[in-house]
Amino acid sequence: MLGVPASPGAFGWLVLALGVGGSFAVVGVLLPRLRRLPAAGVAAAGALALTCGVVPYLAWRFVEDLRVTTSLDAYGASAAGPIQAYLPGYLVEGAQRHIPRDATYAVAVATSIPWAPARAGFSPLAMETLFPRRSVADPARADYVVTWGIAPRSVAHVSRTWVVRPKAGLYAAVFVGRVRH
Amino acid sequence: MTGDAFRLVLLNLLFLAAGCGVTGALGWWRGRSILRVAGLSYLVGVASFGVTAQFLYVCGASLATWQVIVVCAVLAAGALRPRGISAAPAPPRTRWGLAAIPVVAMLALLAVDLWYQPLWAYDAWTFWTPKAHALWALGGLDAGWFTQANLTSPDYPILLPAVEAAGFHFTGYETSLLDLQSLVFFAAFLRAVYELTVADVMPAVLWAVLAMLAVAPSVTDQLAAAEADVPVAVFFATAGLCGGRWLRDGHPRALATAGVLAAGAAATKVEGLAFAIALFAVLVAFAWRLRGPSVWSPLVVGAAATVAGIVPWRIWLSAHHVANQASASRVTGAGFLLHHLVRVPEAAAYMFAKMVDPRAWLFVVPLFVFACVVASRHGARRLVVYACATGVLAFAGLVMAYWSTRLGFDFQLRTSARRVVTGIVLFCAAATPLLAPRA
Repeated sequence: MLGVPASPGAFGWLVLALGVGGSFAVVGVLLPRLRRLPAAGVAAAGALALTCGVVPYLAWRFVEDLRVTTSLDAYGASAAGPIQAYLPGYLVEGAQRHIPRDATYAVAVATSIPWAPARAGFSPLAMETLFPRRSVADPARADYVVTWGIAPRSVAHVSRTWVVRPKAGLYAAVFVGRVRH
Repeated sequence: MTGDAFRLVLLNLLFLAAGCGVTGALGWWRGRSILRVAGLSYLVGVASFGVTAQFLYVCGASLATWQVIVVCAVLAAGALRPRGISAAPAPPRTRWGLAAIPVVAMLALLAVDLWYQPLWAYDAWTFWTPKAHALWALGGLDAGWFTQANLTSPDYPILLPAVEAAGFHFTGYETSLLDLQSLVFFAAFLRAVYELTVADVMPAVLWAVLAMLAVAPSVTDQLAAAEADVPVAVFFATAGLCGGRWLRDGHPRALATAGVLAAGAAATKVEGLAFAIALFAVLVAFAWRLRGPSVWSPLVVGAAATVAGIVPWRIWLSAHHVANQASASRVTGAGFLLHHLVRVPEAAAYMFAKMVDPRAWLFVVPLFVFACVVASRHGARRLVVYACATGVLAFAGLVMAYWSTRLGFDFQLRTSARRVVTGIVLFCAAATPLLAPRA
């Protein structure tokens, strides 16, 4: 879940403790009746009671999650995947203007980009943004190259280069280069 | 989005109708008792549609909206003359049924939460949903797009993308509803476990299992991720439950249904094939040992499930020179495997820890183990051996996958183990009520 904190925190632990404690109390009250059940039934009843005790904690998790997800704006919701990988969803926007729909492209990412998930996620982001254009592995065999943090001429012989997204803070520039065949 | 949700409901009703046709033809219901197998029928419908859709995509079909409707209608034709010999029995009413309240409440809370959940999980936005988008937008299995360099896991089968693409034909490209679609799979699974066991198992055990599954934090986390792990787990676990019923009751319909669902699992994810093989290997071993009149049935059904679920897709991959991560060469490289022998205990221990972690799965696996112990003392050894052997073989399949991986072992294990064990955990959960028959 997108908005659930990594650690429950004091309030989360309190809710969990109260719920589980309450379920133990209920089991204690019902114990004389439960004794009539066979062994598997007693174990199941205990598991059921503990499960019911966890429900308030789960409800708290939902509240925490909804706090985050209901406050997302349209951009945050549509680009939530790339954002999780430290990638602005619009990073490759604009490359479509330079790459025809039936052309192929190759992607190259600088190793100096500091976030591994971002380096890994750039190719899928390019694939999504440039749909339905097709990517190829070898820049020399592509019609275009899309690079992040590298000049296109350093990955292929290019006849023309465009800056799709200029450098902004920690984010290196994104380029498109037309490959010369 | 509300209008899109209604159109998604319409598609799911088509899946349900398709499934009712298949379950009717297999003899699960007659007349009004159709409602007593609605969950099972829905899952069978999704599996049947998904396997058929994968085959049609491989054959070059576009599966436009009208074609989706025709496929479902053809599958639903079996409902016109259901072969049920007798109506399914009405479930007995007990006070344990009150446990349905937290189960339904949790599912309702989940629905609200998933309504606002964006598409954020890595595998979902990088390849599962893009594949569905491509099937929908490019009008079929465009070889150029599906073999491109940037596509992660191009060899994964396409049941889930086919189902999601069918959804896009009804709703447009609406990714926010994919989590809700996963929730429908899961709710149908809970209903199917109830339907297949309620008549003759201990209600306390059944409701404890259903409540734990509905509340398990790992389920909520994975449903919010809209990946393929829950669908493959749901298909495998329900197939396993049907296999158990075939062993117990000997009804051919249970075995055939296990085959349909196993085909769905194999067509959903690579490990689904390993799960299906594990399940039918155990069923074949039992049939061989018992040497009854149906000794070849599980072999035939298992082979048919594997062929239907995965062979068309493998042929397509081979024809388009797509490298297959699950190739046999991966498990036959003796030198590589010997060199990485240390991975076996590490992967096994890590996955087992994930399965029994109460923060993820509450007490699902411990209750299964306890039920096995109690059942083996009360003469249900056949079902205990079946459940344990299937679970262990499926687990071994996952260990084998980590052992033989050429990718980063530690990274793969840490990022995927919590998800891939879902199939085995749900199988254990589904098998638990079977092991606790009503006194």
